[in-house]
Amino acid sequence: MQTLAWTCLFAPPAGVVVLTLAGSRISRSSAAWLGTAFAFASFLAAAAEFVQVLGRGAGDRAFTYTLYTWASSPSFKVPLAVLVDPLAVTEMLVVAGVGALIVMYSVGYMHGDPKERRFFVYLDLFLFSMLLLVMAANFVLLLAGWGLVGLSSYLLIGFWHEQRAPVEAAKKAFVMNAIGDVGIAVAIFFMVRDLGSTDFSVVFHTASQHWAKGSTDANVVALGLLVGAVAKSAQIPLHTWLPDAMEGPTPVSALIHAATMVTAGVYLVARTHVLFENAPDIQSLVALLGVATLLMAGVIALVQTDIKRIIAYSTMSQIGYMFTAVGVGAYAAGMFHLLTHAFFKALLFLGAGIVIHALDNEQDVRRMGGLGSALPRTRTMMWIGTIALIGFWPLSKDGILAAALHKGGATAIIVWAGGLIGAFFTGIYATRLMRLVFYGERSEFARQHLHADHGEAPWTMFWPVAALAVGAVASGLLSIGFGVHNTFGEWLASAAPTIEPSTPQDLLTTAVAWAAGGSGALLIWRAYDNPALLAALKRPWGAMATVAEQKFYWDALYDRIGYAPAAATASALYRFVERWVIWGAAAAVAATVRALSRGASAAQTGAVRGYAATLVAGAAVLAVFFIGKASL
Amino acid sequence: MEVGVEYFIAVSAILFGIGLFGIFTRRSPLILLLSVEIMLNSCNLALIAFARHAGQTAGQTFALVVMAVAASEVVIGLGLAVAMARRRANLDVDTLRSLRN
Repeated sequence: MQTLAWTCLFAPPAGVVVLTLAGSRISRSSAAWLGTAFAFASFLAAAAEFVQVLGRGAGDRAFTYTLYTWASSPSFKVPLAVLVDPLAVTEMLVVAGVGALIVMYSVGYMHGDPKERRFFVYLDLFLFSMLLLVMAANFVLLLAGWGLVGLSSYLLIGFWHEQRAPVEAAKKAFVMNAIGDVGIAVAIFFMVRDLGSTDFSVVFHTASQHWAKGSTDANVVALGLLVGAVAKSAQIPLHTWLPDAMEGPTPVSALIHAATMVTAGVYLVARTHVLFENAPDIQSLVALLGVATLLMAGVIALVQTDIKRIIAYSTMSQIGYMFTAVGVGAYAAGMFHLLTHAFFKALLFLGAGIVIHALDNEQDVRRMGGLGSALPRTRTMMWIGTIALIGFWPLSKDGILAAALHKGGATAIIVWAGGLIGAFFTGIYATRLMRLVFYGERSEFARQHLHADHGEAPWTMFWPVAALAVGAVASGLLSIGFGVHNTFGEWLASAAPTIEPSTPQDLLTTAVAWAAGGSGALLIWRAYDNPALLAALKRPWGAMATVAEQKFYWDALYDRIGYAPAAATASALYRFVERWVIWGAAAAVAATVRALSRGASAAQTGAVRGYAATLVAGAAVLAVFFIGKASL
Repeated sequence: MEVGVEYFIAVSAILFGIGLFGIFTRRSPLILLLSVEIMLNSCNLALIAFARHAGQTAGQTFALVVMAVAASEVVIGLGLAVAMARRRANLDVDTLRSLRN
């Protein structure tokens, strides 16, 4: 079992090393397939590990494997140790499984890109970082993984670094994630100071003894972790990097910015739920931030025109649901939504990737339309993803909201109501995307750029999408609710408990959520058939649409409070300090030296006899001096 | 009969004066080199005279070093003079100021 865990973790970095050393000695497509093979090796190890863990008794499913002591000091040490428990195994399966499918998809998507080899190195690097994050058995290792996924995300967002926008998006993502890293580091400082260890087992068992419930220390630790989670998972207020991150290649958006990395914040809160329960105010804040994000992102998604950005805002919104789940204490429900979301959102992204690929990299939905007849299989797959996104099946979103209803209390009721309103928006934007891309009259642009001989997609691109569609449908069976069964919740119970709603609560929530999502979907479908209805719908929302198009002015706000003061300070420093003090000092030194040199250069007349006379005169002076001295 | 050291020094001083005079009055680089040689050899004479007077060999050794330096210096000096003669017709050290500005 230990071997399997280490194989799962170290197969992707082995791929990094092999691909890097092989370099241009192997062909681009062999490099791509090698990268894919290492990802699948990791997935197979994860699956075998899962079978092994599943074979153990329910109370005996957590193992810590230590390779060696990574860092040590007299007072505490950090072992290079992984924790394999149901929560970690679930994440390992998601990361390695969805990851391997997306790496395979990239074989087709990135075919012919001049930097194909590097892309697969980065993907394998990302898989390693993400696996390290979810398998870490202590906070320092977790932070290492946390930072490394940030790095690989940066590298992959900025993959097309010849263009300006990807580079800026990459920098933005990196800076925002660095804020989150600092938050986690602060929490770790508190652990080292008060608990003397960062091992999960020690921290979770001794935290409540050292930090009283709701005390400042407990709140600061939870808040630090929350800052990290919020930055990584693109929740308000550190969310603005995610839509920009869509500048990266589409497989990257699917893998990092939909299925795995952005949901790491949810994993973190679920993993450290003991610390959050020790700080109830902060945990409520998690839920409220989640509600705010899911509503705001849902509204913004309504007006976006870039196919990937629509899905990106949808991701933000769905992660908002997961945050509400872990915020109200339904950790397993949140993880279940994370699991189903990983499938259906990766599916939607990869489907969008097929569309983008077929249309010569066009991403504007207004220039698409009527693609259904050209891409019928993609349309079917994306319908499966859309149905999952709206929440008809799997019932993961409803599970969260029903749990919130069961929990009760002001926060949970806000979550419940906000989540249902969000479901309405989800129905609208998800259906709008399908409608604009696949239905209606085929646009002029599509007629020009869609080539019949192109085919729908290479098999390496289509089959991962199909596999994800199967996963999206099948994963729903893991937890049905309504008192039927909650296999997933029981599986995670030891690591991430959940709230089990009563059957009536579940039925009510699901009914309302279906009604909200379905009515939203139906409304927008009708509206696109009927221009008068569309105009009537749009009119009262004019001001709101402007706000939504401006993304609720977050970027403008950060420009004002972050960029503008920094730029003003820099320009003031340039104008006064740099120009006058630094340049002035340099100029003064130069002028002094020049004046002295001019004086010295006057002696260089070029006349040989002048030099000789100077020499003789000097010798005479010395002679007089020494003779005078000797005769004294 | 032993010749006193003061005679050697006098001869050396006279030779040095002749060399110095040559440097100050002549313009041809060849003559300048000759003058420098005369001055160097006057120094050698003084060195050897003092060495004999003091009964030590250090001065003689030093004179040998000066000869070696003088030989090298003549090689470079004559080389420069030839190069100069090739580049321009007249040989006049006072016109050699092109390195300035």
